[in-house]
Amino acid sequence: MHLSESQLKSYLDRQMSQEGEEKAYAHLKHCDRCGSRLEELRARAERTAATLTAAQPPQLALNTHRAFIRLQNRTKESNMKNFTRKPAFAGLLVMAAMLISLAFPPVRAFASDVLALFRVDQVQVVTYDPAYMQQFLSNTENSRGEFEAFFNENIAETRQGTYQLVDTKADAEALASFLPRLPQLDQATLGVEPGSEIVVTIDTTLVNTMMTELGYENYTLSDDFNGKKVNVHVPVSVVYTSGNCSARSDASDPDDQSHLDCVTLIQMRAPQADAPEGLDVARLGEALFQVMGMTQAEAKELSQSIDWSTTLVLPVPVGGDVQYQDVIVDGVQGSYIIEGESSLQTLIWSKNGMLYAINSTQPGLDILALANNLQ
Amino acid sequence: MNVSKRALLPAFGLKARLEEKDFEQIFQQLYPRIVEVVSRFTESQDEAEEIASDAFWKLWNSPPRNQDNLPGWLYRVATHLGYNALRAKRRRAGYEVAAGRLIFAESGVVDPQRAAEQRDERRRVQAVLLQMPRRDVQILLLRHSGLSYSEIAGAMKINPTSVGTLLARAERKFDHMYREGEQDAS
Repeated sequence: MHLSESQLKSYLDRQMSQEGEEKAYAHLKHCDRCGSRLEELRARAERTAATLTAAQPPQLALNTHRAFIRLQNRTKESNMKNFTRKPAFAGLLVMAAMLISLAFPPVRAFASDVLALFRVDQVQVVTYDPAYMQQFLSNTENSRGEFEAFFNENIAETRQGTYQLVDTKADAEALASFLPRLPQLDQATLGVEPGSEIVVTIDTTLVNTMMTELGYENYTLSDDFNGKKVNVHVPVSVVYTSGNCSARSDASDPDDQSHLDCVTLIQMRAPQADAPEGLDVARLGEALFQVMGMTQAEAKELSQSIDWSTTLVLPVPVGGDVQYQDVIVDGVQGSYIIEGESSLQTLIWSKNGMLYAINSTQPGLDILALANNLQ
Repeated sequence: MNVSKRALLPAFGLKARLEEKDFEQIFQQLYPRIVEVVSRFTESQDEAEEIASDAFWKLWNSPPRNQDNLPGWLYRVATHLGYNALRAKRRRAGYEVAAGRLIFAESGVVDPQRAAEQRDERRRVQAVLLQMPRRDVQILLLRHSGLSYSEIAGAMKINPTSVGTLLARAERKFDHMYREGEQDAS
């Protein structure tokens, strides 16, 4: 049995297992035919290597450190410029809103340690126009630095374990302590994401500088809050995926179309937070809504209509090809967001103390039906 | 800050960014290698550094959903960018002159004759690369930049057992086309 070209090539490149290499060597010792094919491959590889090397541009000493600094600067600049279009910034907004909504509940008369407790049991989407925000924020360069500084310096997260793949619903239940409700799709995988503890340290100087810079002097925090902690507990979540998303899918990879077939369902018990007594979250929400383009009156009205102690507020950029609507899902009110061009659909709702989010990149998939038929 | 990073970002089609220190570490480790691979497509190291930097920029700005093999992802994205850059450049007028100047300005090669030869050689190689399917170019350059078969498999999302065959095929094509070109030239 002669060696295949694949075997000869990996032998030549020393990429075989030791056992494979020994076998190939034994064969090559007495097989002229394979020997000459090997020589042919070797000669070609050497010619190719020589040609490619000769064609390389002159090599200069590489300053990796300097290159990194340059990239960092570019990152900073772009964060400034493309604020609203970058997913990462949208993420930051989501986080900001979550923090404000999760972390600053209204006062509740708790023990002397001034803790108020909060639990999400509904989700409210607040839409905004990215173009407006872009314009607004382009006038407030400094506050953006503050904003970033806030996220970098004052938030610490501890993840309690690592992501684990599981085989069955029962295994997921054992890790997550709740029985997940799942759709029935092909090629599905199930995993459990550990919970997180997030501690936000309030830096009133930072917050107030930011607020002042944004033009909201009236919304500043009292110095009494300086150094106080806000604790956010994000429970264990069960992550169900179907399609290629968890395996080898990569939307930023131009070669890869497989992300067009990805459905993810995340479910977790409602996140909780406790925070110092006395923070007026409705006021902070009001400020946020103004940043998002509402007039002061509108912002005030909306903020006061929201029960901040139980509502997760999600800012969603609408305009262009992103649309949002309220829907009835799983027997409760939910939020449905669709991004036309990328056929990205998201559905998020809260029911019986659980938070659910479905995300699909599969064109034409009826995720509402999927959500209505969880088992 | 991972409330949404871990749990909710994916639900919005948003992806978790890498931790800054992890990003820096991977940059330190892989930047020189990525520059080397990409330089096969370029006229100068500066240009290669720009493309490498773009690849890392993508990694930072829109990281892949699956982060199990970031080096592989980087190699794939960088070779893709390099190939596209070469293509785009070929289309641009005035390129020859500009590129020639660049070599003298930056190579430190004193002998203009030798620099010109190197440049011609590079043009020939690049012309051949452009005629080959992109995947053949990727595998060829990754291997000749010293990646192992399993690294290549990860970068190209192919089975490690098929690397040998694909690589042998790519080398055969390259060698054949390059030598054909040489004969035409002489």
